[in-house]
Amino acid sequence: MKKLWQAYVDAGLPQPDSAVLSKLEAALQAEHVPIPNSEAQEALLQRLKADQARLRPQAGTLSFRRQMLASRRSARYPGVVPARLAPLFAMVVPQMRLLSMSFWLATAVIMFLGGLLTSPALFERYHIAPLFIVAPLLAALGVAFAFRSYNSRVAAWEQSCPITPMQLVIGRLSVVVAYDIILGMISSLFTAWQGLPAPLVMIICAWLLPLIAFAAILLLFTIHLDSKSAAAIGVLIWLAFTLVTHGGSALLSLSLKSLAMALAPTIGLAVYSCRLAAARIKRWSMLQYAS
Amino acid sequence: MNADASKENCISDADIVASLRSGDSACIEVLVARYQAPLLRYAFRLLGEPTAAEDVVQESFIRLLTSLEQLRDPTKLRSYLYQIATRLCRDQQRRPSRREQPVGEWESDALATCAPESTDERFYIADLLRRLNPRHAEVIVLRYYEDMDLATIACILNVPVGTVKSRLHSALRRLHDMLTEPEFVRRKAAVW
Repeated sequence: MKKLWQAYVDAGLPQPDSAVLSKLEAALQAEHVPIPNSEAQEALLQRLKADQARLRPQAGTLSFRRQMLASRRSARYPGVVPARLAPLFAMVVPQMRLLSMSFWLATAVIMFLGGLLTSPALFERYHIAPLFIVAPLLAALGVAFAFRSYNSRVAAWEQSCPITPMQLVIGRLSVVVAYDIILGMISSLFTAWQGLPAPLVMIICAWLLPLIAFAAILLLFTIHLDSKSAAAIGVLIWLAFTLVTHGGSALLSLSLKSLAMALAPTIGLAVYSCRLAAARIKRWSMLQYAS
Repeated sequence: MNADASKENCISDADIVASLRSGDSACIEVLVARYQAPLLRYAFRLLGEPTAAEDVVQESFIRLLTSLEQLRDPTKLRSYLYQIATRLCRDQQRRPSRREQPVGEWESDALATCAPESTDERFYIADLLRRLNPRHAEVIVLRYYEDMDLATIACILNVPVGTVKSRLHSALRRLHDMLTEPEFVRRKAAVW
């Protein structure tokens, strides 16, 4: 009652007169509130104890995955990886093992070849930079290759692992896209060193933006269709992009500000694709468990 | 009995959560002993009906067990339980069947009650709370009955602290209007 009185003072509200408050106090003292008796308490206890085993997180559920990840996080990479990054490593490392050696080698060879062929002489004569042409296509095909298992039985096995669909998508994308970006960076440095008439930042942006956009688009197609159809659509989009932008070289004529402005929607598209893909995988996995 | 009570007090909320997560059923007793009565009071004050309040309490504990992994900070067990109970009370309040139910028309064998007084006086507070907007009643009950600070209330109701403050202000103003309403005063005057 004192607290209520004080509340009116603190809030700067007109206080009810003392007669009303004293009546309220009397009513508060007489207030009829149920109290659980021992039978009710015992019944609730029995119910909860009986339900506890049934209600515990089961394998295959999100809670189970979280529990498993939490228990393994600290133990897997002690001292080497910061605790905050440990879940990322826990996602990425198993994904790397799923991709065969031919994938790594083929990607590296094509990307380096693109970098080697991007000579200043070729660019000045034909306005073509093979690096800009191969980088987005490699990323797109890499995504289709990495996510091909969503239409195979491997997906059922993946769903039983203690990671969420979103973690799975990010883990797998990180492997493919990060590898392509690292190779592209090395090739860009080589190209700039050869004397391509453009700043290094522009060279990187010219292939990085299409790479991210293509990877995001192909992720959506691969998850919603199948990997072959997605790859076919990806190649068609890539062909159209190559023709319109003259093999990506047209991007070099844009200002750095325009490219930077294009980066935000591209990253937005990538995030949106990841979310849609994760939702799709989650819905798919729920249907699997339901059946 | 005293030994049990002291043991109960020694176990923190974080210990209860850890124990429940490991599948130990012994801590359920501590959990129920600690929170059943406060949750029942809370639900009753919002709903005005003990049977519905009992259902809310039981369902709150069951939901806690099923969603224990979502509780990131085990020390916030109390807030989490009240949050679940609040949502369940809102669900109950939305049911059309219980909106028209008058306050005070209940007796339950399963529940012990406080000392009996005249019916109107006993349910005067329940009547006041029931006439408040449910969102206002929640903040009043949490603040003045459950003695929670604004941050905890904000956490339970999943709203910013500023919203809690404004709801409290509006609730107090409305309460004041209700207490000084000539019709309400006249109606209650007969009781006293």
